[in-house]
Formats: sequence, structure tokens, C-alpha cells
Amino acid sequence: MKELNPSYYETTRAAQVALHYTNYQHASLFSHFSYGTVKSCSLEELPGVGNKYHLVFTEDKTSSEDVMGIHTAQILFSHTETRTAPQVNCTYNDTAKANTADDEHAFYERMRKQGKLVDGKYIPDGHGNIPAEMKPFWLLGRIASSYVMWQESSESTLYNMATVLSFQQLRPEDDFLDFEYVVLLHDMVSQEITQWSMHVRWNPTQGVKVLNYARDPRNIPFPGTAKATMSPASLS
Amino acid sequence: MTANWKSSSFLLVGILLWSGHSVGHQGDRVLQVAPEDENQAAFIRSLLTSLPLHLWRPATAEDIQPGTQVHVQVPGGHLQKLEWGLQDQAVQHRTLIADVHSLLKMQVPGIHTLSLDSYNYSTYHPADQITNWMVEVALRHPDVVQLHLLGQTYEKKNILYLKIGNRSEQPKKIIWMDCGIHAREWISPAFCQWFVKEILQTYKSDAKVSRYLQDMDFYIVPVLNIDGYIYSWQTNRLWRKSRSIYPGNACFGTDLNRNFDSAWCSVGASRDPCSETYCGPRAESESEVKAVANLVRSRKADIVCFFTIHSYGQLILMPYGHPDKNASNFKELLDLGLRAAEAIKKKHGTTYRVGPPSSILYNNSGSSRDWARDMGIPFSYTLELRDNGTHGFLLPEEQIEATCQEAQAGVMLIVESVHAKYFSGATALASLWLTITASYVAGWALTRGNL
Repeated sequence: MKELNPSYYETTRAAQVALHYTNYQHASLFSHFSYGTVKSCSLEELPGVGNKYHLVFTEDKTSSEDVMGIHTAQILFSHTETRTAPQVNCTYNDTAKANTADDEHAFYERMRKQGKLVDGKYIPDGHGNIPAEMKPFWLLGRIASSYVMWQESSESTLYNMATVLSFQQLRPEDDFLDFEYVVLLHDMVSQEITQWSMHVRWNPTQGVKVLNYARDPRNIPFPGTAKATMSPASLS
Repeated sequence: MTANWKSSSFLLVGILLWSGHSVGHQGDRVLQVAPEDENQAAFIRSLLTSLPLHLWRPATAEDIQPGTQVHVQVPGGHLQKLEWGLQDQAVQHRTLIADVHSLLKMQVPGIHTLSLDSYNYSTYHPADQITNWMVEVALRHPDVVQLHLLGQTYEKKNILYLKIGNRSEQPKKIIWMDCGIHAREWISPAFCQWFVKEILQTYKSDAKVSRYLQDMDFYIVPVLNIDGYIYSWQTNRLWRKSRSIYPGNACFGTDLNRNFDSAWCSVGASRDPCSETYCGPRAESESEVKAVANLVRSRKADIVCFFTIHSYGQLILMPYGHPDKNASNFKELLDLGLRAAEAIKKKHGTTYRVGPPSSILYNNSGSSRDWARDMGIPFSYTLELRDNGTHGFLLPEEQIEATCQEAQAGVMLIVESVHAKYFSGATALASLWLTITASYVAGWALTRGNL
């Protein structure tokens, strides 16, 4: 086992994978995971298998009632011929989920009552603006993107979601809400922006599922002057 | 006979410079100068080191040869000295632009509709508004602000910078700050505007800031990559690079922060023109980079601190991006960076990590920060402002104020420390004594009439 400097990029990249994994698996719509600082990081080199990082996080003292913390995480990056998603185990505290459960059910009920299917664009928009009525769709996009970012990560990437270019609600089939999302992801290491489309479904009890996702080759313009929009303008 | 005349002319120019004879404040002028032989070319090159001139053409002093057309910008207060020197050496010259200041004003429509008193620093401004603001700032504070032309972008737009400091005939130590080298990092130009606003709102009331402007000059470039910045507003919000295109390349744009001549294109940069980190066809190929490099090269002995502002990541980066290169003053840079991070955290609790990119971010090469350090500038930092990925480049305008306040605290801590290093009480006294002695000697020489 090799001790790594908690401030170094190997640590940051592994921690980011743990964050994306935990947000996809365990976050709810209105409560998400954050990490404070990495207290310690060690690297276990497994010949023929890959690199396994062991992280311990400090508790985030400035937590708010919708933020949950990751305590420890182990992230295995496989060094196989074909690329596979990193495997993650972690311990965490998700008690904050209870604080937002009522809001999530209320939002779900409102969406079920809509006469029209909801769609929207540019969240956040060119000026970083996220109108209040569009925030739940941004949050949903973030959790769904977490799945893609977890799946696509390696020791040479550091992903964040840049924006939700568009979302389109799909006809509901059962008790889920279904959407087609198009997002832009930013990889800090290569500095590249990539466009992805995802089929996302959600309900308050079963959380977020990404049914499928793919690189999206369409040229969707995103000028700095673009404004966040939604149709209908707000939920009835 | 000729040799004596030439050497006494040098002496004349030298004495006039030394005695600080000022013709009063006039606008900057651009002269076209035509050296006919090596002596004249050498004379012009020497003027570039002894007078605060800005070379528009050619790119560097070394390129000044007999027969080259030289365009040089001269501050109004030094115009007479320059002309006397040129006449003395019988160097052909004429005025190309009589008043650079007026020219810049004319280029900006709607200039007088901007009011500094109600200017909103908590919103993102497009390039032309930032230019308007720079001109207004210079007009409002003629005692301490001068507007200068750094160079031109690929699309031939003027890159302007503000020189902020008490007027002085002698060259002063310089603190450099450039913003907007990467188009999509909008919080960066916003910070440069904020920084300028803070300096100008406090230099009369705050003893420290007043002292900084007395002892040093701040060179602030609010938007270096103007072409890219405009493109991010009009076409692609997440554009990063310049907007240059080279024959045979399938894509536009060079990463300006991989184009400086420091371990150029060795690590962390790409030879692929379509890559976000394309290093360009050669080092300093980009006119934006050339503009910075020319000015910094000509003043490197005076530049004590070099800041380049980026986002996002909440980092204070020091040289080098190459894993095998270490700055000779690594410990000093790290200690100061850590203290700056502490100052940032005190403001709003935001954590900034500190270190060389090769350790805490990724390997890279050809950055302005690394190149500045290679030039011998002792303190060179990249600041990556908020946030840590939640919004990334699309930082909400509600966060501009807090982001700028904490970054200001970090920058000013470094400025204070650098200033203390070069202007301790003892040093100030020694330079005062030297000035008094020199003025006495100069006065004596003039009255002796040995010319």
C-alpha cells in the first residue's frame, strides 16, 4: 500500500469517481452527496487486476440539510484490455434524504398531474442561471449524468456535468417519470466537452435509473446568450 | 569628430532621462521610425530599454534591422526626449498615430453611455462593454490609470491593458495580471474588472494600496483572448481556445495557455488542431501570446509578480506543469500560496488547493505562468477560481461577488508579501538617497555645459 498526498490529482480523480457513484446509487432528487476534504488516500497496486484507491474523507462541517457525506471509499480501476467502469464501495451518511422526502413526493405528484409533457433547455444557461422552477430537472440531470461519468471514468479523467442542453419528458408508461436528456460533460484532464443523450427514469421510492446512454453527435448550439427555458413555463 | 558628437548625444539623452524632465501629460503617440544603418538600428534598440516605449512592429527589438519599418508607441511625457534623440542621430521618423487614446475612444461606439458609478460588477459583460469600461476607467482616473495597447488578436481586434500606478519617469516594479486567456472562463474577466474597481476605490483611503501604487505599477489585461470570448457569447459558450486557423488544419483555435515558449508541447498538450489543448503550429504562433511575451520580455527585469486568472477548480497553481521541472524558489512559492489560500478561506470558507499542476491537477507545458517563471519573474501563479464542478464554467452571477472577494483577498496577500520583499523600509531609504545623489550629479553636469 502506498500513501498518497490527499491534495494530489490521483486522489482527486478517485474521489470524484466515488462521488459520482454514490450520487447515482444513493442520492435522492433533492438531496445529494458532497465530500469535504480527503483526510487520507492510499493506493493498492494489484498486478494483473488494476489500481485500488482507499480514501477516507473528513466530515464536512458546513453541511446543509440537503447535503450528505461520504465517509470512506474504495475505488478499483481495472487495467484490463477492454475498458470497464471503476468498481466502488463506500460508507456514507444519507440521513438528510429524510428531510427532502416530502418535497420529492410533492414534485412527483405535480408532474403526474400535468396535462402536457414537460420539456426544457439550457440548465444552467449561458450566464449560469437556473430558474427555480427548472431546478428539479437540473438536479435530475446531475444524478443521471453521475451514472455516465462513473461509467466513463478512469485514472486519467475528472468529469463534471457542464449543463443540461435539453430534457424532454416522455409518455409515462408505469409509475415512473421518463425523460430523454441531452447533457454536456466536461473532462478536466483533457479539457474536452462531450455531448451525451440518456434515457432517464425516476420516482421518489426507486430513485434515478439511467436505462441507456450514448455519445450524441448532433450539433446543438449553445451560445453564451442562451436563456434557460421550460415548457410549460412552470408546473401547474 | 562624428564619434564625439554621437557619444555626447547619448549623454544628452541620458542626462535628460536621469533628471526626469517632463513635458507634461499628453496622449500616447505612435511613431514610424526607419533606421538606415546598423548604428541607427542599435540606437533604436537602446532606446527601447531606456524609455518606456511599446514596440508595435517588429515583434522584438532583436528584429530591428537597417531597412525594417519600426512602429513604436511613446507616452506623451517622453515624446520630446525620443524626438530629440532621433533627430540627433538623423533617424528618419514621422507620426503614425497622433493620439492613441482618441483613436481607441473612436473605435468604441456608445462610449459615453457607460456610467462607472452604477456599473454592475456582479454580472458578466461582453467584450465591447469591457472595452468601454476600460476607457471610462482611464478617463475617470488620469492620475493613476493609463490605457495601453498590448497587441492584436488573430481577428485583428485590439487587446488593451490598464497600467495602474502613480506616474513616474523612472521604470517601476510591475505586478502583472491577465484574465480571459480561456474564452469560457467568464468569471476570470469579471475578476479583473473587480480587482481594478477595488484598487481604484481604495487607493486614496487605504494606506497599503496607496503605497503599492506609489512603488509599483499594476498591468491588468481584462480580456486577453478577445476573439474566443466573443465567440463564447455569440456561438459556443464552452469554447476555450483562440480563433486562429492554419492551412491544412481541420479545426479552429490554439490553446493560448499551451502556446508559450516553456517546454512547449512537451507534456499535457496536443498536436491535434481539433484538441482543446492544441499547442499551435509552433511556440508563440498566436498573436495574443506574442503580445504578452513581447511586453513581458521587454520589462521582465521589473516584473516581480505574474498572475494569470482562470476557472474552475479552486486552485493556486505555481510553476511548473512539467513533472521534471522545479522552480528554484519552490518552497517560497508554496509557502506564499498556502498563506494566500488561508486568506481566501477566511473570507467565505472556500477551500483552495495549492501546488504545481504536475502534482495537483495534470501535467502541462507552454503555460504563461511557467514561461513567466522561466523569464526570471520570481512569483508566478495561476488562480483557478470557483467552483469545484457543481456549475463549473457556468458560475451563476449570484456568486460573482463572493468569488471575487475571496480571490481578491488571496491576490492582495501575495501582493503585500511581494511588495514587502522589494520595498522594505531600508530599501526605500537607500533608493531615495541614490536619487538625491544622482540628481545633484546631473544638475552639476548640466551647469558645467560640457555638451
